Amino acid sequence: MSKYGRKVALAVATFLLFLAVWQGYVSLFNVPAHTLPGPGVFAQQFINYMTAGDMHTHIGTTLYEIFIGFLVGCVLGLIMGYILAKSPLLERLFTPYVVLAQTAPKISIAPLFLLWFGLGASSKIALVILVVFFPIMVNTVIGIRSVEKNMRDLLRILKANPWQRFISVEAPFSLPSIMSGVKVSTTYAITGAVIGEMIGAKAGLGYLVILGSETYNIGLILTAVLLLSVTGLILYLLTDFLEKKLLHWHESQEIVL
Amino acid sequence: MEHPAIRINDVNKIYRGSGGKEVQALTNINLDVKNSEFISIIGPSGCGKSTLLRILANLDQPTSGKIDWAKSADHIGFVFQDSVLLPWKTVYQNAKFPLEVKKMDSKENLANLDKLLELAGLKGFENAYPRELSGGMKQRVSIVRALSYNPDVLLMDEPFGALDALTRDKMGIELMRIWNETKKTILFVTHSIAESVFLSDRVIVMSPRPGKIDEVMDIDLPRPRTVTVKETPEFTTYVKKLREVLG
Repeated sequence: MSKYGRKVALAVATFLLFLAVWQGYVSLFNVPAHTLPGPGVFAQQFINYMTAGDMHTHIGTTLYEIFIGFLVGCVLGLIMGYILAKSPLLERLFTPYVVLAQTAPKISIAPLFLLWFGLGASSKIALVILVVFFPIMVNTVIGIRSVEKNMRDLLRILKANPWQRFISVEAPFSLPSIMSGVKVSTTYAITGAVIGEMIGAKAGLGYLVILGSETYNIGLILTAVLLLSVTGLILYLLTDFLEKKLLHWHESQEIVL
Repeated sequence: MEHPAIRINDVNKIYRGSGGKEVQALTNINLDVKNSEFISIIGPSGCGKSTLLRILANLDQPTSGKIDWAKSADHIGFVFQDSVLLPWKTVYQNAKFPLEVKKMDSKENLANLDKLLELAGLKGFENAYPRELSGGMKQRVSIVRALSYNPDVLLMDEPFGALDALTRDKMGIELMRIWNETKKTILFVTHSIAESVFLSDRVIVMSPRPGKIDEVMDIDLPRPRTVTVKETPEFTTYVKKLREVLG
C-alpha cells in the first residue's frame, strides 16, 4: 500500500473507532436520544435538518457574516498596519486604544454592537471585523518593521520610490507574518460571528445553537456545531492553500509534513 | 593629470553614540580614485572602512568634507557582505531588479544583463530561487545585480567575507575577469591581506580610533594575474609589508 493509502486507511479506521465508542457508550448506558443521540440517530437528524427548508439560509447567513467581516477586517488591518509601521508617532498614539479594544472580552462587546447595529448581519459583521483586524494589523506592523536593514539600503541605493519599496520588498517580506495573522483570524472570525448570533439574531448557525439549547434539542445543537467545524476546517484549508501558493519561495515551505 | 573618478576631500565622520559621547569614525580621509582602478581598503574591525563605503554610497553623510564624482554620484553599484537577494525572486528577477526600479529595462540593457549572467557563470540558473543556491552563487548574482545598470563605480563591502576559503579564492579570480571585461572602478573592502594584494592596483590601509588612512600601497604585479602570482616573491613581499603596517 502506498504511503498516502496507509494514511487514508488509518484516518478511516480512527473515525470508525470513534463512531463505535460513541454508539457503545449510548447503548451500554441506555442514554436517551434526547440527551445524546447515537451516531445512527444523529445522522438521520442531521440529514433531516440539512434537507429542511431553511437550513441553507442559516448556513448562508453565517458564511456571509464571516466572509464580509473577514475581508473588511483584513483590508483595514493591512492598511492600518502599514500606516503604523511607517509612523512610530501614530503607533505610539493609537496602540493603547487598539490594545484596550482588544483586551475587552469579545463576548462583552457583542451586546453593545447588537444595540448599535441591530439584530441583523451588520452587528455580527462588525464583531468579526473587530476580531480579525487586530492580528492582521499587528502582524503587518511586525512584518514591515522586520525588513532587513540591508534590503532597505539596497532600495535606497537604487532610489526606489515608496510604491516600489512596498510592492517589491515590504509586501513580500511581510507576507509570511501577515499570512500567519490571516490563519489565526479565520478561527477568530467564526468565533466572532457565532458569539454575535448567540447573543441575539434571527438566523445563523449560532442562532440555531441557542435555539437548540432553549428547546432542549441536542440534535440541532450538534448539527450546528458540526457545520461550524466543517466551515472552520474549510477556511483553514483555504488559507493554508493560499499560503503555500504565495510563500513557495519561503524557507518555512521546505518543512515536509 | 586625468580627472579622478572619485575625489574624497578631507572627509570626517563623527557619530554621536549613546549618552552623547562622540565617536570619531573617520579622520581627514583624502583619496583620489582613478578611472577603472581597483582599490582595496583593508584594516581591522572598527577602522571605518565600511563607514567610508557607506558615505560613498550616500547611505550615510560625512560630518565634514566632501566627495567629488567625475560623472554622477548616482552611478554606483553596491555589493553587500551577505548577498541581500530577494528570496521571492528568481536569479534572473533578482539580477533584473535594479533595471525595473530605475525603469531602465530596455532591450539593450536586458541583452547586456544576459551577457553579465553568462560572464558570471549563471547561465542555466536563471530560474532558480536564492535558497537553492550556494553562498558563492548568491554572491555572483549580487555582483551581476550591482552591474546590471552599468554603474561607473562598484562598491564592495567584504563581498567574500561570508564564503569559505576555496570559494573565496575562486570568486576573486572571477571578479578579476569581470573587472577586466567591464573596466569598472572598484572599491573593495576586505579583511584579507592576500586577497587585497591579489586583486588591487592600490591597497589602502586604515587604522581604528580614530579611523584614518595609514598607508597607500601601489601593487605593481603584472596583469592579468593568475593564482600563480601568489607564489611569487613579489607577492609575498607585499603581503609581508602590509602585515607590518597593520601591526
